[in-house]
Amino acid sequence: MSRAFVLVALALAFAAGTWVGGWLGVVAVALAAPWLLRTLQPVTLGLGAAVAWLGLIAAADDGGSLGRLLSRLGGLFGVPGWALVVVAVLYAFLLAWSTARLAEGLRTR
Amino acid sequence: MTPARAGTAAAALVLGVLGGLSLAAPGSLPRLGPFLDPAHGVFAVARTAELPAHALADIPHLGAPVEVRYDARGVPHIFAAGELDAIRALGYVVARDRLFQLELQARAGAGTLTELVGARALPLDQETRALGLPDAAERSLAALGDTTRGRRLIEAYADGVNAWIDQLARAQLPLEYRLLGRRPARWAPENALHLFNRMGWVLTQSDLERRKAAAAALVGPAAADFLYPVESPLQEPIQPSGLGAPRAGTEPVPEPGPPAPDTVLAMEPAGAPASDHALGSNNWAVGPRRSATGHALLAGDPHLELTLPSIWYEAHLVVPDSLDVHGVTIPGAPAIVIGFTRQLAWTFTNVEADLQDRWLEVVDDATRPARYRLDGTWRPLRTRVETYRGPGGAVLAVDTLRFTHRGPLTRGADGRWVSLRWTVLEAAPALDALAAAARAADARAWLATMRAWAAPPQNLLVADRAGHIALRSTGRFPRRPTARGDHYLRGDTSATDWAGDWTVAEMPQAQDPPQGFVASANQQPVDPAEFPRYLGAGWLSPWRALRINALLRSHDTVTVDDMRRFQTDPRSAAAERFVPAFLAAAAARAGSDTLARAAALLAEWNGEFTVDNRRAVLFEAAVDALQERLWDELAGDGTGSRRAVPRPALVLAWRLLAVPASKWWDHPSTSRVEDRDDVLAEALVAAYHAVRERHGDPAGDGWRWGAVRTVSIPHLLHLPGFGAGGLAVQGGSTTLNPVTAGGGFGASWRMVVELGDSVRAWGTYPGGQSGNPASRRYLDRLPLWVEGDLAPLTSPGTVGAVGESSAALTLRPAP
Repeated sequence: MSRAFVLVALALAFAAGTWVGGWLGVVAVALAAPWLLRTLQPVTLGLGAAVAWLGLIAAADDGGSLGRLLSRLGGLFGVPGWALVVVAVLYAFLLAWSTARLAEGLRTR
Repeated sequence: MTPARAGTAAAALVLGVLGGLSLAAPGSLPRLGPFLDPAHGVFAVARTAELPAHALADIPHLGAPVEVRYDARGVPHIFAAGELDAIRALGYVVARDRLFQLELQARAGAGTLTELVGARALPLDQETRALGLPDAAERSLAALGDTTRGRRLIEAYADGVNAWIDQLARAQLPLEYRLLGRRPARWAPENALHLFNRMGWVLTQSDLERRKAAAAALVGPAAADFLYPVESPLQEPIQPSGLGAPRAGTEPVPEPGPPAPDTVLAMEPAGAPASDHALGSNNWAVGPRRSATGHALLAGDPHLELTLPSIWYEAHLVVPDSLDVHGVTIPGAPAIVIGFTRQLAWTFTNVEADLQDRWLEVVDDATRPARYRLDGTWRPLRTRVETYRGPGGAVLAVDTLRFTHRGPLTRGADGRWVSLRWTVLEAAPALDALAAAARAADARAWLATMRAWAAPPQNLLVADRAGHIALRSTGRFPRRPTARGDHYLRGDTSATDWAGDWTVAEMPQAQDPPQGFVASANQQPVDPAEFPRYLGAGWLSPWRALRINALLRSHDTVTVDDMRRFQTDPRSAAAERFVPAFLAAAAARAGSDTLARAAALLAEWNGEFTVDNRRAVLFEAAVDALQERLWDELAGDGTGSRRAVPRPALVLAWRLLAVPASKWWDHPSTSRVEDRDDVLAEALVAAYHAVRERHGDPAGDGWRWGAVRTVSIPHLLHLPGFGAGGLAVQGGSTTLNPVTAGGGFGASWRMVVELGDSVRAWGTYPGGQSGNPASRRYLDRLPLWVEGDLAPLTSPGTVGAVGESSAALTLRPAP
């Protein structure tokens, strides 16, 4: 199975998980995916979650609404608007990676 | 530790931190996971920023389906079978666009902001409740009964708002709730009463007695009367006097004298400015004889604190054979507040009347009174316990409020107990009158319906297709046995109590006056030379009134475009009077190069506050410097930290121009005796230095008015990044479009209506229809407002006539 295919499949799974369960959906998918594909690395899962959240954020745009939102939130938090996207994507990555890494560690003890 | 174990430990740490931040909010920040969640969190605000092309919703108690079509400007056109259904739909569409604003404004009037935003709002809530506003709303609700038209209106509106709240998807939660970690509360019908009480507070709150006592403590009672005059020294009344020109007062000016005894009540807060720079609103109408088309024309621009989203929301309600009204509503109000129908148009300005009196009460205990003295007997105080809660329900504070038969009783800074009587606390908002007036056939019928309007009193302006124009200062104005209401009254006798209200016939008014136009700009409504009854004191400056009357007198064929241009007219009646005085003083006190240079620059000014003008800044600075110097007797204890602020300060300064040797001109802190020209020349030099220091060379861009004086419109919660700042607009502090330093007030809505064979209207407000900051409709009206331009307000009579709509909504009766 190609790495790209795995990444896309994971991203779709994380997107669906997020849609259904919010941020806890990321935890759930990060826990469940390795049971289906034991060779999955935590980093790959982290990347899948990051791609999924990036995609969901991009899909939220409606005629420039995302740019307007980021601009205002950036003003509120005193950072460039795009930094919030970075924080969100990093959050998803770390959440999925840490969940998978912890589960892997516990499984192999 | 092996690398594998270290990695597991690191993962556990990361997961622990992320999980912790996502399950519990750190400080005032939202919970991280739910906030960043791109499906339901903050980014979903972008996904729900625009209205869907088609939507369907169920509303309880709806009698028949309602169709709503949004036009290209985001205005909902509501087509209902009955008026109450139209109001239900209005509640729904307002909640759809402005849900957070609805709750915030109602809570501000109810004194429950702490339940939404936490303890930081406690002082504001305590003030609201101490004034008795929630207590009054409860009594108003009870007085409405269960079956009145007013009750049915507020309940219908609540049906609509709550239908939206009940159907609200997670992704549709407004951003402010996400930042606060809150969910919207259900809308109670009485919230409409809280909203209008809050408006009453904004428009009629006055501390005239305290201001006057503070001034008397500095310069004596006669001078204090001059500083807050019952009769404005410059008369251009709302009710036309027939003079065809302003009337200048000629009464002697009292000199500053020794302090009055027993005037130790609280003075102005630290840092108060020397000038009032009070703002207000404008409205005017011209009759067919003076309009270019032979039709009546009406214009209105209420000036309020500017916020994003705007206080106004534009809507159009159609009920066949019953109602067809277009205009603006305030989120929470079950009616169009300012607008037009197929027959007529109306708008308001505030009557700056004195609607509050204060009594010094004799109580049985200086710290915890239970009784007060009246006519030789002790009467029990009514008490009410107020509990303030935080967002989680925890009790933040508990207050016990006390009431005399007059109203709420509070303890002053000097320890004395003062009761307040205020018409806003005694008059239920006449929401049914406002709704019914929209069905009036002509101006006369409209005014008759609005007789019920009690508070806050408004200068009601109406014009109709038959060419009638009329204006009436309408509301509840108390009759005072004491003749005046601008001093503290004795509380131990009922002889000082109000004794009824003015009749409608006594209210200042004009219908189709011979001059062919009517206008109001918050000035004294009637010339006391004609009708010398006390209505208030310390009136707003009449500069805007002078200017609009001058414009209307000089135009006998007014066009719609003239009406629009007048709303942002760049000239000032104050400047026309003060510039010659400054120049004459500079000539009389010649000798200083700086004074000559400053005078030469001021002489170059064309008198206009246009964005590119490079001399208006000098005039504004000179006027400010003049008032700092002129009112130096009011600087209090000598530290400059406390002072009384006269009102209308600049008009009083103008009055003093005619008394060049008045003691007011002399500086008490110097050994020599200054006169008018000394102070004017000093002020001009000081202004020149200040402007040069701050803005550089007079020929440079730093002196551009648009760079010096700008408007800022903050978000309702003052969230950084959510407002609009640095807006260069045409106008100064005394022009028809007032722009003051700090610039957070201004024309909140501008409307021009032509009442011809059909009714045509134009309007705009600063902001947009949507409260969602990600929406293109959040700020889309701002450029037009900045330019002083207006958009056509189209009012299709049927669903089919709407043409191309940006969104459609069908509301059905809930099963």
